[in-house]
Amino acid sequence: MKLCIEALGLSFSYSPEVPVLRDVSASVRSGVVTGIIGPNGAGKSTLLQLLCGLLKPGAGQVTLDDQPVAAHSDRARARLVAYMPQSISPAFSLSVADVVALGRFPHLGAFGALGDGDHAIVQACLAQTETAYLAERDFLSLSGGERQRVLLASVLAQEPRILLLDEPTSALDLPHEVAFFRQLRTLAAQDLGVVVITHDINMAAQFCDELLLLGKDHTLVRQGDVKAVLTEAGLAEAYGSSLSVGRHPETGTPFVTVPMGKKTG
Amino acid sequence: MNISSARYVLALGATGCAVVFVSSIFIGTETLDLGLAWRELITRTPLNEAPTLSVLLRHRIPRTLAAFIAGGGLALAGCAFQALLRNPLATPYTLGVASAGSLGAWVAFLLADITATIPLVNIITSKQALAFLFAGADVFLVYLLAARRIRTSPAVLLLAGVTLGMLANAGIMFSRFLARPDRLVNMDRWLMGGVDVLGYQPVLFLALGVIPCMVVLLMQAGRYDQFAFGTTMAAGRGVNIARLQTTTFFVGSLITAVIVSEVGPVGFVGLIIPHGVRALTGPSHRLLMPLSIVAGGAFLCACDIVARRILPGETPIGIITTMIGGPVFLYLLVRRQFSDWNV
Ligand SMILES: Nc1ncnc2c1ncn2[C@@H]1O[C@H](COP(=O)(O)OP(=O)(O)OP(=O)(O)O)[C@@H](O)[C@H]1O
Ligand SMILES: [Mg+2]
Repeated sequence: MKLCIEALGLSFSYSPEVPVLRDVSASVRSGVVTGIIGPNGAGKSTLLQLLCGLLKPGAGQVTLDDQPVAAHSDRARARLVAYMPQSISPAFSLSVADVVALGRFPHLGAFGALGDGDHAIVQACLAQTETAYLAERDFLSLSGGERQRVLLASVLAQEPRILLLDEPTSALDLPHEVAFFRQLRTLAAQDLGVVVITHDINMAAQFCDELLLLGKDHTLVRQGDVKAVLTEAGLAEAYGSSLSVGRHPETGTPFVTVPMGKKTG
Repeated sequence: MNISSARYVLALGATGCAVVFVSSIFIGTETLDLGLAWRELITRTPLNEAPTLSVLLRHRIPRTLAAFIAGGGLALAGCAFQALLRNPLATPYTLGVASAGSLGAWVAFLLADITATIPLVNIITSKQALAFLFAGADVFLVYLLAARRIRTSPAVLLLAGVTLGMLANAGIMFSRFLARPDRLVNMDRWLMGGVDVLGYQPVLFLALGVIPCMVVLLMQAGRYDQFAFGTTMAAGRGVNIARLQTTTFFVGSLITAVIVSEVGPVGFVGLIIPHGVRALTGPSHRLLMPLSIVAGGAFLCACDIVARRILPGETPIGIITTMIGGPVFLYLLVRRQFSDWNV
């Protein structure tokens, strides 16, 4: 069974008169990697929070598993959808293992005690993200990239059906970023849904099945498969500056570059 | 700290707390002759003819219980507020609850002459009732002022609390100014705090007011853990943020109001105990919270022993908690025991 999050005609603003999203309709589902791209301030992070019900839309509605998101209890929703915010740091020291264990919360009983099964899942998520060697370290002492990999482990420990990740690779070096996206593909192959915001359009082009392109006017400019979304016209409309779309030399997928205004002749 | 040494420290701490608790019962301005008390007990001497047993039952045991509940409650409330507001400075006192409670007690002192003889009114205007009422009003006001903004800025809540606390202090100054000079002594004494309760009625009041609140807060431990990464992350994990904020705010303040109305504004326990315990247990609230209760209770009992036995007369306990707690806290700060707060 596919699990779907569907957004219908979403509009949102933090303060009156300043729209952050305008009439956005989109859907994401398990087994698929969906990328969200668009300029700074377009409303990508806002859209992600609307999709998991952390923000209430001003107009339109979001359904999860064919019911309004708000109809699910907080914990029940958190067992289906996990959310990793854009930039977060803890208020105090925590070991990496503790951070990953926090992900078990929606599965625990009233007093929040972890059982053997929970500990096993924590270990598995550490191993899966290749962060097991960091387990005893203080989370605050990690580098930005290490933190992001540990946070992925922590949302995986939530065992959701759909992962919503807000710029999870912004601090990763290139090889780690590729490894991260490969891992997202592996997860999707295990029927997990992945929604990932990134500014790395070419990485998204390589690893996402579908893209949502939000524009600086806060509308959804294009959506669909990579070829349909990454066009020069679409990108120009979304970013308000011209980008060139070529072909990736190996895979033939769209490859976006910035024209440098090279003088000819 | 590895698990076995953590267990060792915890066992040592628990033993220490038990020793403090028991000694608090037997140490006082006069040391109790246990044999005598025992003889009085088995010969079934009526209490008014059995001075030793009477001191034990009517003074020492209730006093120790009161100190333990009050200390534990204040420490736990501090712990919960720090978790909720993600701020190491948050305590029920920073929220103005204690000052407001004190103001209530002062008003009761002022009204005492007028209302003492009127039945019912004298209960409503009693020190406890007014302290409780004022502390409650403070909570309500802070909440109203800050409710719209706690989610985005816990600092606003603290600022509102500190401001209300200052207003209450100005009120206290004003009522001191109005009070008859011969009354000031009594009023000032109350302001310094004391667990010198008599009999079991105050203990029962404390127990009924504080213990159920403790249970409610302890049940939130797993949710407070989620707050480590902020409210958005916690919400994503399935914590109902609004409900947790309301619960913590009201239950934590209720604990404080009950305690302040009974033992006066005993400072510092809610600040120093959670920080000290955190250095031993690490950040898990499922350990931190129950141990803060035990450590807070033991700390106040120990301060009370110092009050009764070591210092002259019956030194007010509020002075001692701060005079002992302050330097210890500064020492820990300098030793960077609290570098675990990322603020
Ligand atoms: N809590 C908030 N209160 C008020 N305005 C906000 C808030 N969060 C975001 N905004 C505004 O809403 C708009 C969209 O923000 P959002 O974070 O969704 O953008 P984004 O597409 O994720 O940008 P970025 O690529 O920089 O992360 C921005 O103009 C931002 O200033
Ligand atoms: Mg963003």
